[in-house]
Amino acid sequence: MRVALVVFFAGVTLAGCASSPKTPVGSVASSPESFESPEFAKLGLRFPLLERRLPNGLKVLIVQDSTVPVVSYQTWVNVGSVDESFGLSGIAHLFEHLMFKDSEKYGPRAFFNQLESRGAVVNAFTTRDYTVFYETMVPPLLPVAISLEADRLANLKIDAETLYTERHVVFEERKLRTENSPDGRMQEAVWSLVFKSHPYRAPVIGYEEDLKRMEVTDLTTFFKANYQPGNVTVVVVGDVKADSVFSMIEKAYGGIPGTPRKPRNIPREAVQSEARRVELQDQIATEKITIAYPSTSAAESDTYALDVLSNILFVGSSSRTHRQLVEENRIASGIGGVNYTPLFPGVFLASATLRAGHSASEFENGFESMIKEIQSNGVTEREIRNAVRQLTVQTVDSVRTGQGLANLIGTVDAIFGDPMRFKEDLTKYSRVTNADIIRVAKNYLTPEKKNVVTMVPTTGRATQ
Amino acid sequence: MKSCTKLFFSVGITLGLLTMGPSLAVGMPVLDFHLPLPKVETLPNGLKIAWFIDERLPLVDLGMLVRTGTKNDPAGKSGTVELLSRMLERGANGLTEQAFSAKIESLGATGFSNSDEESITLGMHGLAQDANELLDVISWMALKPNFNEAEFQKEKVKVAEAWKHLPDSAESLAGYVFGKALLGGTVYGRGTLASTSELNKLKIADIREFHRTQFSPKNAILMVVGRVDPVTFRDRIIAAFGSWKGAVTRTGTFSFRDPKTSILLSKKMEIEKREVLVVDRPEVPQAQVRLGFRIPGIRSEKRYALAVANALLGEYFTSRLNLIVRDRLGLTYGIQSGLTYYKDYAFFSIASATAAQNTGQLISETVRQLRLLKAGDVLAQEIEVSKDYLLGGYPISVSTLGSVANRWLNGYSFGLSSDYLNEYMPKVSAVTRESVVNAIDDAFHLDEMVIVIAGNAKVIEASLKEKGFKRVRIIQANSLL
Repeated sequence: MRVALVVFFAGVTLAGCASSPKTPVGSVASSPESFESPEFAKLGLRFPLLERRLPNGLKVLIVQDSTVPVVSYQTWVNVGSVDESFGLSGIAHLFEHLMFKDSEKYGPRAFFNQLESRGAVVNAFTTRDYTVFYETMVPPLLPVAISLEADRLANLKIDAETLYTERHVVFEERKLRTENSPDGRMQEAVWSLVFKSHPYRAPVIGYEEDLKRMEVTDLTTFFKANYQPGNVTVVVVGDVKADSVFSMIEKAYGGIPGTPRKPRNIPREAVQSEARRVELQDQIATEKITIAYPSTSAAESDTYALDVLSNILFVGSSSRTHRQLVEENRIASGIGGVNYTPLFPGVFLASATLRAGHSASEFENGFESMIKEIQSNGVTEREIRNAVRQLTVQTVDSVRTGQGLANLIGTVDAIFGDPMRFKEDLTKYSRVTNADIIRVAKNYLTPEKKNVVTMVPTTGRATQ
Repeated sequence: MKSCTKLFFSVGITLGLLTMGPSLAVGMPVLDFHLPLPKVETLPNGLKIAWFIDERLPLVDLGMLVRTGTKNDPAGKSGTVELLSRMLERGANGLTEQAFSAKIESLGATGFSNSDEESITLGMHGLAQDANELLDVISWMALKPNFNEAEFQKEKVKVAEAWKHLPDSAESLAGYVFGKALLGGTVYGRGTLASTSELNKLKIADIREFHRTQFSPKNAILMVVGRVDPVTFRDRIIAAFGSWKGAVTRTGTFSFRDPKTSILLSKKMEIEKREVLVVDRPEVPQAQVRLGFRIPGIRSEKRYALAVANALLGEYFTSRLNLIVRDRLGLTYGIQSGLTYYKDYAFFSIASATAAQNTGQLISETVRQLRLLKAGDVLAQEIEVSKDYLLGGYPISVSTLGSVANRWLNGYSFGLSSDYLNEYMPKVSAVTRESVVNAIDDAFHLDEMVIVIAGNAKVIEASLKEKGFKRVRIIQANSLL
């Protein structure tokens, strides 16, 4: 299956992330708006949203849903690996770890001692564009979560001993996800191949040599620059009273000084003019390949056609790649792909594990033929209709839980600066035409924009 | 049948007076918790239907569980259930595999057929408006699979090829060999496949015969979860499944350690007392570590005390193993302990990964913590924290009707009473320090502990010997299959 829906909404220009002028400030009352749109109404979906902003810049988004006595509290910090300076790769992710360590007011491990030990799910993740801290809990624990989150934003403690230990934990995480994992190694190689100047080229977890050289002063500088209310959005979904929660948040965060969010000034990657390749080796049974093409950011209108195309190519047993390369030609045992569109232009990916006796180049040739066929003759109306239906089910699936809905709202807000934006997406998908598919296939999936990472067994390449 | 379960569990909350640390005087919720049980009915042919109706989202999940799993593979024919499960997705009701997939995906839906040790499960997930069509498809899968010879041969090749990829990942290797070493000699020891030679001997007639004898309405339950009108949908179910007939025929005796059906493993994966088994996967910098031992089964009264013991040892960030091995020593990104239950077997396990040269230190510290627990070194305060963790987390773990349905189905397939979901919170609440100490003393057979590591054997062996592990045996990853 395709990756989580949030991926489809990832990415917009910097301006979209600036303060939204329609957001009420302070305790000015605002009626909950609804995500209702014709497509959502047809499905019987409606999520009333309260959106407010504190004078210090903190944005607050609340959806009341009393279906189950659970609440999800998420803190979206507008900083990711894309914001890292050269030589400091991994600092955003390392910082995510350090945020759980210690604070002046509540001391070490407060989130675990006071929330997780009472059953709350407490965790965080870092992407190329943002860092998210989340707690899912029964409602009586919400005041604790608010208090602890506000405290670490204002009073985090960082010392050399904590940095030393946590850095080693990150080294182990890096080994687990990348160095020990053939797929992890390939993924890291893909991003560094596609992006030559843009900071997306570095892995979110960072390079070990960069992590080793980080000092406490690097971290305190990073904290002051990024962890302040003007750079943070709080998303609350669940069994709460919106006004009451907002009052608690206002009380907890109101005294923390904030400044307006600074625009990200990251130059666009140069247009790729010739194909690039890299070959890796590992102890694997058969060859692997990933082909990547530079894609759009989520804000660009071509995203919708590329998403539909990637569903037609990769999602389900009747998708084109599965049908032709797994079932008919039988050269691959597994295939996957996605149009990944973060804040800045992302990548359109196709990956395969080859069957014994078949080479990565056979997949590459087969995939290219398939793309040429689409560039010449397009796809069928039925394929487009099926893909849009799949995207609709994925949309509804993504809001099955409060945490899922909070993820979706937070992602869309982080990317577009407008949490309501995703209500338009089903409409936009439904308007994609065959001509759109042909156009994006011709514009984006071209031989000179191809990036190919192959991995061959250490015992030798497959004979063709 | 018309009632809809919008609010599918209720929670009454009272606040206690427990102080939660500096400046945070917030009470721990005491939960009066009750999950909805499904309405279960039995059709005249014996097929059970469990209804979990939920109007909130426009989705429906249909699932059929057939109570026959890989442990029921006929002797000498392991792989039967795995292949049968795969063949249910390879065309049905006369539709080719391609037409069958297209039918499901034209609805934007997803379908699956899975097998495990105890059961085969078929499922359909899609929009509620397509519930009738999804029901048709799942009935074709269960009752009218094509069992096409050419598709069968393709699937056999896929299964054999998938096994060749096992050594690609140290994590998979460690899990596979640990399972074989721990469960060897039981009906669970062979997993989905005992050997490729048994797989190669299987014929489509074996699959047809197994389906004929095991797929019976009396051996199955249909789960309906989501937004449907139960009155009209019940009529559709009767139209689809009402004429299904057949009584289940067991393929043998399946008691624990039955010599006819249990598998004697390759000597390579048998493990002797106090021996550490290392699967060599050179060139990876990190060692994957698994250790564990058998514990009392799912019906044991000690189950809840063991759940509390497991949580305080390795389930959350401030559990003992995480505090020491990750936070204090920085040896790993994660270390978790867990309890795994089959119908007739259960085990406790710990999983972690560390730099190969630190393997000895990680295992040594982990074993030390287990010995401390075994010696009764458990604080009453730890027990209370662990109980709070389990009690507070339970509502979150069942916060969708789908998750409630899955848990209920697990209990059903294990033959537990239908109330077991609602017994969890009172039984955990009733756990005391004394019951935890007794349960650990009774269940933690540390002398029978199985330790398996996958990674760079040379470095791992040196690290183990440095910490006093004298009996280390190395096997090659590529020699396992």
